[in-house]
Amino acid sequence: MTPALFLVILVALSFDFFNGFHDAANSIATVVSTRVLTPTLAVIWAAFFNFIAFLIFGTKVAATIAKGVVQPDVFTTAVIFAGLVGAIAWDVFTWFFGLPTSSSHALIGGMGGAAVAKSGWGSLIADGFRKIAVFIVLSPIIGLFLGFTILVGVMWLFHRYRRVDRLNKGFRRTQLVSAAAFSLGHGANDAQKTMGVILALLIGAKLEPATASVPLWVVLSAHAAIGLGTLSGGWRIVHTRGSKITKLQPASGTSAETAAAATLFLTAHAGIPVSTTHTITGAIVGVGSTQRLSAVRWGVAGRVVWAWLLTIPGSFAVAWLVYLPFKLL
Amino acid sequence: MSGEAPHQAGARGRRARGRPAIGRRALFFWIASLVCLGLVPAMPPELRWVAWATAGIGLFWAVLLSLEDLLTPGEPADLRLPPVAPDVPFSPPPPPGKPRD
Repeated sequence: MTPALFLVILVALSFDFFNGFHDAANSIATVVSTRVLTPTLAVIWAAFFNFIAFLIFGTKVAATIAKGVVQPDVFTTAVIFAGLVGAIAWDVFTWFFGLPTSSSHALIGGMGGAAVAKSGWGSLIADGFRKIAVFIVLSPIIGLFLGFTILVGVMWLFHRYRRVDRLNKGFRRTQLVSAAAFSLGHGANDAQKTMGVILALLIGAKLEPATASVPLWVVLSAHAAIGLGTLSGGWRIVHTRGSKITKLQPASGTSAETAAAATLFLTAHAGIPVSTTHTITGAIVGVGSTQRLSAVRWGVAGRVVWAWLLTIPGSFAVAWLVYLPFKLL
Repeated sequence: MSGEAPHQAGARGRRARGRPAIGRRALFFWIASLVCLGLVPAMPPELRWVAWATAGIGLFWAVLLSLEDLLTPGEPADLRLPPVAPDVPFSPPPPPGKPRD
């Protein structure tokens, strides 16, 4: 393994680490806001389920990233590096200007941009891009409809139950399960994106054959990176985001997390990379819609739509620019 | 679950205010379901069932929410008479020496 390859693997794992750092809030914000767990315990809970996701789900999402978006023979260390830098730079740029983004889409756009800079548009796999583009739109809608359906079902089941305090206590407990399920889905989906990047690197460096599956050390290091990211900084964001969604009750929180987890399980099983943030946002909009549309923070939903439109083209362009010097060398 | 205050609810109230007979929420579910249907041709064949199933769930709720809106009569806002304010809150007192009516 060359030092350059080792460095790019470290960059990929850092991307995974910051993904855990940033997205932990999605899975445990409701548990914290309803005071089922303290922020510290909630973060440990999420990190644990992020890590063990590899035992339950396969590595189909990783295979899609490594072999289903860009022709595998286009990948070199420089292409992956440019793709990662494009994704990270786009994330930082949008964070600085307060624009919406999705790390997952940024990664796919970045890889595509660097590959096109190296070998032209023919290096992209149209079917892979189309599948991902469709699920960018579809996954929040699946979360929305499932969240609405689950919460209406819960309302039908319990509307005659008069002991509300006891009911809330019960749903607080079920939130532990739904948060764990969502963390599993997050680990299965987001950690696998990094696995896919590292697998593509190894294939590009001829250290693995093009037909190889993800090596165990890659699986373990990607899950460890996302788990450590969740552990090390997530609680700060959890604290903020948890207090922003205090209007979610235990029943609606459970429903939203269950809906989002089901969506992530489905997409992980089908090998489709999706944005976990957009999925949980869709599910929260769904449970909010059971009350009235004005109860939904439409600003958040609108930001998701902007992220659909901006992220892939933006990170694509940045990665394309980053790769140009390598082409001239 | 109509999404509006009780005195504004129902299809008649919305029509009276020049709005569509079905509410915003039902409309939202119709649009989201149609988006899912629009995505079906772009899906890989082995995953088309996901878009069909999602559209099916959405259409189910869109129909139910529309029916709820259409079958809730409500009270048209324009037909309610506004309260008539008297010119003066109380009739003026009679001049001194004259009895009240």
